[in-house]
Amino acid sequence: MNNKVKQEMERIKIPADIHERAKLGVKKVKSEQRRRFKKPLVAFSAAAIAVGVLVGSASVSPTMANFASTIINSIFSESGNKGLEQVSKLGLTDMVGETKVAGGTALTVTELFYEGSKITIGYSFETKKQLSDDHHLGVEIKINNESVSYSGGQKEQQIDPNHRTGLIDFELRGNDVKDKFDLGLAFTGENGEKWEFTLPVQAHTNIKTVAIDTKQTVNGNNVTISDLKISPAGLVIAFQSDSAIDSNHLMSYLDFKVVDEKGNEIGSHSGGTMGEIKDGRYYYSGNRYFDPIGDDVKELTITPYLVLPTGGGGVEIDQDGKEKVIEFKPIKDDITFKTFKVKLP
Amino acid sequence: MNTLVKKAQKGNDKAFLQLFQMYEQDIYRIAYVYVKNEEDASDVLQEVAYRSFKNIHTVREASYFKTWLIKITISCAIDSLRKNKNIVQLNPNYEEFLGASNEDIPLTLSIQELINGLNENEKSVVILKYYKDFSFKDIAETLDIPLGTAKSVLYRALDKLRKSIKEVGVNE
Repeated sequence: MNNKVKQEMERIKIPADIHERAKLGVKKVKSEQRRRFKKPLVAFSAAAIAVGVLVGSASVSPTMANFASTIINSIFSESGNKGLEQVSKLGLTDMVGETKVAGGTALTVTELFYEGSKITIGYSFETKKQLSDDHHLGVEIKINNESVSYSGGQKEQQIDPNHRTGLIDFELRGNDVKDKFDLGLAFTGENGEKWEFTLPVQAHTNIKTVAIDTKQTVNGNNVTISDLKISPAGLVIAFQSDSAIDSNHLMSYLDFKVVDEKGNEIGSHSGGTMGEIKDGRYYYSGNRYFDPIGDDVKELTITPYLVLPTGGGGVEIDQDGKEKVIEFKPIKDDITFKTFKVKLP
Repeated sequence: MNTLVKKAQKGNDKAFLQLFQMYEQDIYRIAYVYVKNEEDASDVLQEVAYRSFKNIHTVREASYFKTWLIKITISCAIDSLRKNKNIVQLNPNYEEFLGASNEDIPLTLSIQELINGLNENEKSVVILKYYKDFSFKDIAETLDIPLGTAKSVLYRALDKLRKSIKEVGVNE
């Protein structure tokens, strides 16, 4: 009698577009992967490598914690990211230096910075066994022991075959953005090892917000730039955009060129985009991150533009495992937005 | 399957979609039982594709893939409900046997009774047990609850379904 449930479940009609919906979910991941760290972090400097050798010689043990203080700052301050370098230099980062050991690998969360909705974490891990090239460390994030919605990225740097350092950053959304909370970090190794941390986190509030509320519509594509946030960690432009369902996700490729009054372009670090389908259109919202600016900068010129993919493609695999290369088809619908100026306080 | 999981873990989206396609109808139907409408069920399916592709590197063995995907589906469906209303969470320490341990499903069960007659926890256990043929051990592991709780929730759910069907019968 038990298959009565199966019979009843199978009466639920399947919409024709579910595979397309699955593709949208996958595209969102690919889009985030493209957006995050589109500019690879500069290799960590000799200082970080020297520390790696030092830690390596101490072998993996709880004494790793004692060495953590020597590597704190090295990850942020040597990341090549001017914002992280600046907050590190100003002493605004939260020093963590907490080490957990699992399966012969010590993982140390070295430092943390939380501002606005973005959290950046530096970590170092070292193992007795040589790490393979495609080794991957999974990360799960919880806020006050609850799963949350976030977008984020992870970048690792090999110091030596047994030692890597990494940066994770992620943006919280909606009600998950809180001033103070316990951050749960669960790292998972390839063999199921777990390194779990619970870290108290408090937001830095040294942020000036400049309202912009500029709206533009080009070829049926809408973009609203709502505000600009300025802090020692850098600039953040918040935007909302929408485009037609058959637009090849054009507006998900939105980025901005930011230039100060002296003509210096402010370095960009991309950012996260969230999207949803509503009333037959794609709606996106997101933040774009830029290097910090000096106090002497009084005006910025901002130009929205699209960063269309220039390569890609894929592999189609049939039931027998045969592979067929799918060629990349470039998007030709590039559009031009108007430049606007923002006066700074 | 093993090859596809490995390819997907290396970021091959075509391999992932081929894998996902094998289960997408099940995912949609399970989601529908929780969220009760097409639009939200499709949203849940899209979110399952997103979360599962993003985290597929955490799957240790290809044989776990299906169970893992269903666990994500239930989690996404409950998250979707949580956006709109409060739902009762399963208390891992709650173990109470209600009624006899009779696992037979009423012959007159309808999908509407399954959708409207059970709470989220009861739906999870009934779906895993009778739609996906999970053992109590697998149900307990998938839902992160003690085995005894899985059994007691199932018997309570079946008891509710039987009573609900009897009441409909009396009213008719």
